[in-house]
Amino acid sequence: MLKSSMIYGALFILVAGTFACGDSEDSQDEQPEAESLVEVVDGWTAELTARSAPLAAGAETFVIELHEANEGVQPETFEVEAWMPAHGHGTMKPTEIEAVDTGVYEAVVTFSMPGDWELRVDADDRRFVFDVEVSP
Amino acid sequence: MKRGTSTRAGLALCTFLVLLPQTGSGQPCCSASSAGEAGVVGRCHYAMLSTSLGIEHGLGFTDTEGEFQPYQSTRSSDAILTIAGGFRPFDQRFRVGAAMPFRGQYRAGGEDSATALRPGDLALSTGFLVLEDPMTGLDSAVPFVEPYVASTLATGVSPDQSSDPLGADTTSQGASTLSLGLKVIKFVTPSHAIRVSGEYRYAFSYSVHSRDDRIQLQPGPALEGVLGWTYEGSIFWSVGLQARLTFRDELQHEDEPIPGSEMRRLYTGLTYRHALRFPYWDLTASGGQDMLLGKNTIRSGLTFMLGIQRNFL
Repeated sequence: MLKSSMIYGALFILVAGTFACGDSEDSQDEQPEAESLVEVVDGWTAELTARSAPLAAGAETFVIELHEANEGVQPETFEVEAWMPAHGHGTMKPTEIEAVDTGVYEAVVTFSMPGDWELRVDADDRRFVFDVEVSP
Repeated sequence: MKRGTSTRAGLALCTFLVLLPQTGSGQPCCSASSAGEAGVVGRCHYAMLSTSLGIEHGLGFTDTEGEFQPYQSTRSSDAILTIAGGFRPFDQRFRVGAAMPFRGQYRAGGEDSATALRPGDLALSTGFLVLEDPMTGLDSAVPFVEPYVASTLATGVSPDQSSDPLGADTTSQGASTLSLGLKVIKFVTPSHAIRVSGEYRYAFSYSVHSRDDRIQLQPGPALEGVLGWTYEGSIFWSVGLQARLTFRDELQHEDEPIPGSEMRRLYTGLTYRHALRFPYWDLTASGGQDMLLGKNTIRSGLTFMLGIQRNFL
């Protein structure tokens, strides 16, 4: 009797732990629409817009627009890097960038996992940092 | 003490020493993904060889605020084949061991999915039993006390070396570690034993690729505590429970801590051991979860393991 009780007790702890972390109601939330994030550095404005929302692990496309005094501005160098500060790594696949207009770029970022990421946009000597959340 | 009781208690200790660490295999932050303290030969054995197949099924992750985030479009499942061995050279109180995991990992996110098979981090450990419990219960205050040194070598694939977009081939954080620990086991009755252990883990710095440069990251030191209990029903079977709590301090870059990068993980599990051919062959099964009270874990979920072990007297 004692042996059975102990085994059932152990199983209960495991099972209770499992279901305590099961699906929550939050996972059924409606999907938000894509919003733009804006950062200003040294007179330049960078606007980041995701093609879809919420962001998910895998490939995601962003549009990045650079402005100076409401005019599109064309930097000499332009790079985008995704970085996960809490885990100390970037993406496994390099971000693909395509210039589509003056100061307008399309970037395909492949997030390797969900969580909090930084999108670091370097335009000439300016760095714009956008905090984005990749949903589970 | 009667010979039967002593033998039973001795086997319980061996089982305890050998099996508990094996249930801790996995993640990495990152855990990721190492074999933990494995390849531990039992006190009454001269050597051991084991192989085990583990399953780690991710159900979510805990974010930097400590909230568990259940997977919606993400999928993560791992199969881990671990080969381990250990023996006691020179002195019956001294042990050395090693464990090598091979990980088959499936990752999916959105429309993408990938599977890869890669080696994990090689784990090494050595310990010396300085005190021995007579295993008669609480009429003696002397427990088993074993200081140990353990290490993991970053033989797995780090995120920096990964070539898979979803990191299915990532089996290591990329940092080797060196640990100092103390394990204390007390038989409160000839059949029931309690384990308490503590470990300090230092991780060596590693470099990662960022843009066109390489940057050096220093993982924070980690503290790990284990509380366990085992019950031996007979010489042919035993069952144990354990809880293992790990804290890792923040990552550092150029001596500056990275906010939110500290990690906390609580693993709870159950282990069952069955003697297939006493005392040489043991079958072990374990299961556990690490979804409660975590913080900044890359993935959390359920783990199961089935292993077979050959003991040498």
